[in-house]
Amino acid sequence: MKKSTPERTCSMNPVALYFAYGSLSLKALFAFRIDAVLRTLAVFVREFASVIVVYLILQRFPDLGGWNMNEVLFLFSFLFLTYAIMIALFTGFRDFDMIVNSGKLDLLLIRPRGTMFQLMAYNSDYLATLGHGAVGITLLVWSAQAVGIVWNPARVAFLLLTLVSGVLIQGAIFVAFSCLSLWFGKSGNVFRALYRNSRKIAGYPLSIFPDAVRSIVLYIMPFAFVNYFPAAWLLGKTDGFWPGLPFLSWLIGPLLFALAYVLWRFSLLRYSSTGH
Amino acid sequence: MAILELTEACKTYRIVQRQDGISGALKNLFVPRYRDIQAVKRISFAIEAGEMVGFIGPNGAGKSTTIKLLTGVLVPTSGRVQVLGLSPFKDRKRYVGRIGVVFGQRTQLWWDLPVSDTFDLLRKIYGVPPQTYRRNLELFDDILGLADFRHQLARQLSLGQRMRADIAAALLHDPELVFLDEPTIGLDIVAKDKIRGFMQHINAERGVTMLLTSHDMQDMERTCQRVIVIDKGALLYDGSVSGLASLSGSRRSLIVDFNVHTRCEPISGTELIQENALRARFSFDRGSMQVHELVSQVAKKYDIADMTIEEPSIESVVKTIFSAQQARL
Amino acid sequence: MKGAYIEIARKTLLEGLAFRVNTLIGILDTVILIAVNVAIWKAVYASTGTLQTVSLEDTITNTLFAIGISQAFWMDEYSIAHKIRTGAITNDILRPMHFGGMILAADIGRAGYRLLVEFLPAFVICALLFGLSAPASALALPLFVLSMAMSFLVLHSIGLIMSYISFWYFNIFSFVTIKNAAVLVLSGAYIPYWFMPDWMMAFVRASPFQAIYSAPMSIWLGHVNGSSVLYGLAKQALWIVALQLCAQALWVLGRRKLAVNGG
Repeated sequence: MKKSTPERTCSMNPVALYFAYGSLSLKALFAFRIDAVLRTLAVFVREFASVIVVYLILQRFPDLGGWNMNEVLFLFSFLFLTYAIMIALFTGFRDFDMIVNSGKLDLLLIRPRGTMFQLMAYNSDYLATLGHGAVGITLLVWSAQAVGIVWNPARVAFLLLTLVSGVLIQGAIFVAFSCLSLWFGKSGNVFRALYRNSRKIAGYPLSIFPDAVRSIVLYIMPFAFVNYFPAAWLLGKTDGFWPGLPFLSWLIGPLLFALAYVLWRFSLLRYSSTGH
Repeated sequence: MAILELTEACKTYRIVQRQDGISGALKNLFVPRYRDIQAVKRISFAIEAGEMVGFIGPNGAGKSTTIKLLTGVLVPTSGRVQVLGLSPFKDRKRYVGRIGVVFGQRTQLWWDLPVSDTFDLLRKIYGVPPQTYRRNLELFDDILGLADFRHQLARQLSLGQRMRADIAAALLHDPELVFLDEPTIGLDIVAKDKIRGFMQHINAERGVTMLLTSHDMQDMERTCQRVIVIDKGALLYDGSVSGLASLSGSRRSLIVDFNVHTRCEPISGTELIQENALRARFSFDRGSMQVHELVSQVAKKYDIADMTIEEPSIESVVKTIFSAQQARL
Repeated sequence: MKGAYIEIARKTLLEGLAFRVNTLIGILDTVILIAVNVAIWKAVYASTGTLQTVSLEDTITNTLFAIGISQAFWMDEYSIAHKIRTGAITNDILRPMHFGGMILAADIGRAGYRLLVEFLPAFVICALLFGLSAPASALALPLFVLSMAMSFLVLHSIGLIMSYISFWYFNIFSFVTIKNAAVLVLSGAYIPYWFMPDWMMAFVRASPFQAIYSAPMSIWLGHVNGSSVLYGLAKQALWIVALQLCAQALWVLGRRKLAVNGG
């Protein structure tokens, strides 16, 4: 603590700084404690409602495209879990239009830290994380037990890798939306609608949909790799798809995110050279 | 030695032109049409270490764009920007660690948290050594009166308090150079004075170089030695504040509000340009008439509620300089 | 006087038209939503050996109408809540118009726009793709329209109650979100009433939720006949009156609170 400390060596490492941001986000959120609890509960109820719909339908019928109720709920759980983690990291890209229009992006550019890092650290919708996360964990624990999955190390590793990749796929999509906003203005709405709908489709076994609908979640917004193929592998199903596809999703997540990152650097450069 | 150099800097914005109709909206999406807007046209100036420079111009003159070029938010379309020996855009992270920026219209404080939390986070972002941080907080408590509201939520602050906290936030890491974009906008006179005093103190005591934009002429007269005037993206004037004052003409108006209905008699050396029962406006030349003499003359004659001297607005100063330059050509 | 309300409805409708790209998105959203749910029904019906009491065609018809229209019957609780919170509502109170009437006019304008411009094209596309049961009788068609209009009024009244909560509680997000979740599960759009378990049906019958999509759909599909049609319509009307009374009471109490605290 003496003056032997040279200037500017106290820089925090990014991980510690990320948590410093995160704890402030939580503090701001829980400044209105009752409200935060109520809102988290509301998000939980909203997300759980779609689960109840599936549950009630499958009480009346034996299965959905060869998947029974517990298997469909297992499939569902991946969507919630990956979204919960993803939104904690990428809220800044979800709200990107607002951040640009209010001039907050300029404020990030005058800080000696990476712009993507700051967007990830500064904005975190922990409410959504808690709400979606609670639904996801409830579903996963319950349905995995009901379908009788035996968790050996290989399966646990498979699950974890799948979740990471699922987070990266959706994160890449959100970053790409933001890039589109920088290029085309608010027209990003079209793509957001596509994301919303893809998530809806991904809640059910891919095999029940006609080709046109399938191709949306296979090629445009590759949600099939977030939950369908991995869940099918864990359940020992192939539904007639190529059996290598579940493992391909580990590749698709990092690959898409790398592409999105390159696009991001490029788009940010454009922002600085064209203004907005 | 100049620590900031702007050489023939130009900035052209491309704006997406809206096209009507559904087909237009689709076209916008895939083949957007652009229109170019020249925000900054071949501006050059240099600033020495330790200077305090005012940067003025009417709304839309290109002040904010220039500040964005100097802070590395934007890259110039052409020309060169060199500050602290670095290129603000290319060496962004290295560069912005050494400067401080205040955007008067946008707060950098965390809205739902106490001001002290934002400060603490900034300390971590910039890696400010603990002793520097403590020393600066003491100084801000002292001169800006920050201690009174450092532990309040940012959204509960008055505009003046918020601005003081924002300025403090930009100075926590001991920047060598500080940009202040409209630091007094929307403030009352007391709050303005506090902020002007603080800027002068930081500039004088610490030798921090400062560039501040404003469209309040008094900000310039009270704090800066040197002013740069721009209009429509081009440099109009770069020189002393007194030089600008003489250029801006010496005619002022004295506005007098009476307590009772009054008919004014002419006063020698002035011109009565407007009169109704409760208010009169005299125009006079500041060069040939002492302000306090005129004021005491008026005060002796009439029952007065209030008197104000009207300073020329930025717009009129710019107009005067512009026509003076045209005449010289 | 009547002209002013029409003007509000017309203005909201035109505002909607101004965002044509969003209109395309709205159509796409509805088509995909219906297509996903139709695919689900086709898959589950294919899985069962035994015959269901209600045909696949009728279930798909329910999906087309109820889910499609639920996309159009979307109330804007937040903007009224925002007005109450910021005190901007005093401007509206000062106008020589009934506040609830103004909200109704705006809600009708929005729903009208969405029905015409978003629901109708989506409905035609989906009907061509997936088929549709004809109305049970010639009389069923106008009664269906009447009943659907009352569904709208039920949803509008519930929305009004939600907005007025903001007189007491500054953020109504939780209330609105939970209400929307309840509507999603109980209104008969996503789970037609014939697939609801008995305990749930017992609750729905005693609640305003039955008066949302179950009532008009049962008329179209001919699940109710003769006097039970009238009984169903009367029940819807009663719910509207009850909910409106409740909203009116909240409004009066809320205004008094506003007057005391000074908006």
